[in-house]
Amino acid sequence: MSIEARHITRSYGSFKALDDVSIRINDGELVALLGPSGSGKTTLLRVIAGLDQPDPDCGGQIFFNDENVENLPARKRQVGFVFQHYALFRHMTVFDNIAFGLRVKPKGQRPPESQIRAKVRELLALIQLENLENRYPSQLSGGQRQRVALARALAIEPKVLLLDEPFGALDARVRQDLRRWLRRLHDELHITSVFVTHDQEEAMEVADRIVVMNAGRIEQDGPPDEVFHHPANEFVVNFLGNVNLFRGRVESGVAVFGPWTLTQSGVSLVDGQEARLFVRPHELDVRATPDGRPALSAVIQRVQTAGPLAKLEVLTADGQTIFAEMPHDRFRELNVRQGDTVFVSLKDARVFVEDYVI
Amino acid sequence: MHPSEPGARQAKKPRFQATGDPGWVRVICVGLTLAFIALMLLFPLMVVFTEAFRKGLGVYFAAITEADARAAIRLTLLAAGIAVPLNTLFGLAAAWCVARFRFPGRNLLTALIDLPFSVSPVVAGLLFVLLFGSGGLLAAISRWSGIQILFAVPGIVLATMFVTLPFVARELIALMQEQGDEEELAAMVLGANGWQTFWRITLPNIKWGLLYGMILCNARAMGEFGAVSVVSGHIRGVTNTLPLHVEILFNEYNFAASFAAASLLTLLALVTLVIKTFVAWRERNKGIIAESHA
Repeated sequence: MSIEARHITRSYGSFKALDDVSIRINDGELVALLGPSGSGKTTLLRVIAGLDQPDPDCGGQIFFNDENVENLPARKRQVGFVFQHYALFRHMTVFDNIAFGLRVKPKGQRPPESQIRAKVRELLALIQLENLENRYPSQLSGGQRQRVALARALAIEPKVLLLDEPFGALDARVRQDLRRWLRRLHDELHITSVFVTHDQEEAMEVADRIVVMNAGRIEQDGPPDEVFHHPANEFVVNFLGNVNLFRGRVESGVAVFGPWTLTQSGVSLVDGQEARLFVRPHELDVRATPDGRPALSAVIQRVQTAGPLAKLEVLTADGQTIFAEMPHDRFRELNVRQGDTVFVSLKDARVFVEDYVI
Repeated sequence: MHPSEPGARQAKKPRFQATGDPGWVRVICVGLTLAFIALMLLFPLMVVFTEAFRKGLGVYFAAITEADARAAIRLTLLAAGIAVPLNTLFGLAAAWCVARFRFPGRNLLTALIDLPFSVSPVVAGLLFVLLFGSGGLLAAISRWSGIQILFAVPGIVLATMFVTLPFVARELIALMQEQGDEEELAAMVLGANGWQTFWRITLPNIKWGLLYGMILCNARAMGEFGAVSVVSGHIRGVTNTLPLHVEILFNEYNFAASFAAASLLTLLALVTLVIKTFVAWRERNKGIIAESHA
């Protein structure tokens, strides 16, 4: 089922948690709402679920399969919602937790108890917790609780699945496993899913599409590859991981940053404008000797080789610290160590200029 | 002895304590506490029962089964029987409002709920006398309906309700605020209606806190003296509750009967204490589980 939100504004007093947000999620998609805390991503999720209402005067609307669900209360929207802290019913066993949604159905629609049992067993198998059905939530690990919460949400055969920071409270290893498991689950069930996260890696790994949010607005909406390689603006560049920032100025139609002069398609450059250059650590080329390309000379401050990439921290003559990353074989080839002078050039970069204000 | 033999050292010397209070301080503290408890709590408790049984079992049972005593017991049970359920209902509703919704005046409501605790019971009683007495604001109600409120059972029930109003509400507000509303929201998203959410999620989660509040409410309802004394009018066999009955007998120098009646109230207190301790223990155990659950 597709989800569409149109012109949603939600304010708390003078604070706008959502500011005229519109978004469409296609049938069967797995979408990540990515943003820092306070960016409105959870509020958007709750508005979709019906747990929160858009401001009455904003004219915002929510559609499920092009049907307006504005006046449908949460309990009738048939959404599966997984809460950040799971919100498992603490006085019920795992089995009863999962069965809850089926047992509270109105008389006519409620399946017979035998069928409920079969369904719960099926879900327990799906989350691989068959032998824990009589445990209470307090007797489970974080990852197990998360899976029970998911099974409970899936029991009512929801048309959409909404997950609020589904892996937020778990430790790194369990997160990794659960992420992959969720992706596989989605590939099997093809249920339209939206999950909220502040972890860009998680969003990249799991989602078909990433919606980057900031201060109640959508900054960018696209496939992970596009969001990573073609960030729409400075916020997105900054938020999607470590980045080096250089300040410069537009002169004679090109942006000048120390030794580098750049133009960028789609960005109109006006002389005298302030410009900023964003370069990810892996987009810098480091050499031991100058090779004729424009380069900054810098001194190596720190080398960190424990990890998938070799990381260099270098200091330029004007006191700026730059982070560079490269594969280990390239680093061995380079054959440099702390205190050596190196020459840093650009492989790829993005220029942003100040919004031109008259 | 070598310092490399910690086991041997420890065997002789007690383990070092971080608080490090010298022995004599501890002895004095413990001694003072015990002496105080004995003097202020245990001794009076013993006096109640020795006085009650001083003239023998026969007199004791006669004192608590004579007509006026039975009427006092009945009235006490009646007042508590009405006040506790009504205040439980009120407590549930008030806690629901305060813990689940944000509305203007919410803090004022929370403060107002505590009012009966901060007002002297005598003042509370006087308040009802002024309201329902001749010329009082609500005296008309009494006149029109023909129901006697002051110096009658309705007044006693009202006064009892007033002084016991905060018990359930206070207990539940704290508990429900701590538990939050996520489980209820989860139930809602799963399709449960308000009624199902209340019976299947809210109530099971607060039942021990609710019981705790009800027990305290009941103990106070049965033991209330000041407010009830003002509105009752002390009509023997009609508007005397058990605490008032104790006072009347005492004023008549009928000590054995007075203490016999008092022993019933004391017994109630002891039973309340046992149940209360048990419920508090259950609640705490649940609290620990809930903590590790978070």
